[in-house]
Amino acid sequence: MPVTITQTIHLPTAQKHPRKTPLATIKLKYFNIRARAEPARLLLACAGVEYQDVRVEQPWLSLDNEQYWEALRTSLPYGQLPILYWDGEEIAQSLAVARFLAKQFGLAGRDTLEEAQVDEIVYAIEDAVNARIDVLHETDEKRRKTMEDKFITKTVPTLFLQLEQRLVLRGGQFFVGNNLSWADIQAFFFCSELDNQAMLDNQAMLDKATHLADLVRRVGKIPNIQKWVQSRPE
Amino acid sequence: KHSQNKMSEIKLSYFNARGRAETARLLLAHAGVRYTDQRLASEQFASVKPRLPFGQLPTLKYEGELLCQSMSLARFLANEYGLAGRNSIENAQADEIVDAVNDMIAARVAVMQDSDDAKKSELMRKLLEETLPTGLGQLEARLVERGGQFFVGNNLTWADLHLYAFVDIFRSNNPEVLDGFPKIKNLTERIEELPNISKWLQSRPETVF
Repeated sequence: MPVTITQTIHLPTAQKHPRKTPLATIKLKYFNIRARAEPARLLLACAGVEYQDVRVEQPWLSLDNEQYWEALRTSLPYGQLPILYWDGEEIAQSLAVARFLAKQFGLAGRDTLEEAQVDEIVYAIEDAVNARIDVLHETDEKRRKTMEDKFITKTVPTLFLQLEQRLVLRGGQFFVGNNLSWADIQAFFFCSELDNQAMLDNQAMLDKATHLADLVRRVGKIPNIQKWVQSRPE
Repeated sequence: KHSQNKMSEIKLSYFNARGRAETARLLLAHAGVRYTDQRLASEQFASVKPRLPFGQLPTLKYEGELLCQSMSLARFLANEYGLAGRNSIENAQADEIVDAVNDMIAARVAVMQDSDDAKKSELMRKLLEETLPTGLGQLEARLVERGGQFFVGNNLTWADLHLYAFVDIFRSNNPEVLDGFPKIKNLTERIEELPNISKWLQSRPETVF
């Protein structure tokens, strides 16, 4: 039987305060990978809230896993993961999940304009995230190599430059409202997901995008995010 | 709302010191706002004092309005630049931290101003060994209770900056002041790494206090 790993995340700084009730009963379900659930996991980590980090074994790893997954997906609203359960309320679609959590934790912008500014950064990054996933899913070797080259030599450096310009326009410290938001965490997520080759080839561009590089570094040093990155499953 | 002000439209006036103006300066620096950082010598202060609403500095001239009282003008700037908390509970939580820091500042000022030299060293000892460690311990506990990253709402507010301004002055003479308060220490380090704060710390005039 495929093992579903369930861990209840207790971050050291998620102190149980006797006077406070927990924010909500939170369960996040995804495969045992980072990919489309990691933005949500980073937001949950940053907020220091207790939640169940349910991980379904990847269906592509074994026939047993695949059969388990095919059965599970019939119960899912879009046949996909991740899915969030917040006090029993079901929310699907990775960006909707992350945006909901960002709002719960005050990281989605302070008014409608800032909310849009956060979304703008998230969508710009999502284009690149999707481009990378397309590369990983391409089965034709030649086509895959062409797509990968395009990703590394065009998609990533272009995005870095665009994000840097946006960041400088906003004062150079944070993408939205001159304070930490989901947009900054998303930029950290994207940069930390780039594999060695993509990073190596784009180090020069990142060096030029000095504000972006500094922001990513600072987000990585936020205590809960640093702890999560160090302690999360490989 | 973050407005693009011309330099002449915001003027902060104080002595050439950090003292009761540095929190406002940190807020202005963080916001990336251009302003006049006026520093008066004693003689200049003596001549303007009769015309000041409360005979005191700092004052903040903001788009034609003269604001007095260091904490009021700092709170005003915090509200202007989105660093006062996201709702009234968070506003109050920030004020609470600011008030707790101000209790420590008042204790320190009382010792500094005591003219009785015989008493002074005993008062200073009590301050450094009891009052301030107790106060910092209470703040450390509050910080831990709030998740350990920021004092209010798990994001930067003027409460963090005000605590930083206090620590910054205190550790000039007592560099070990944050030993034993690791979360506060980590917070001050992260504040110093904010680009605008870092720039300000490097470029501001060096003062004794």
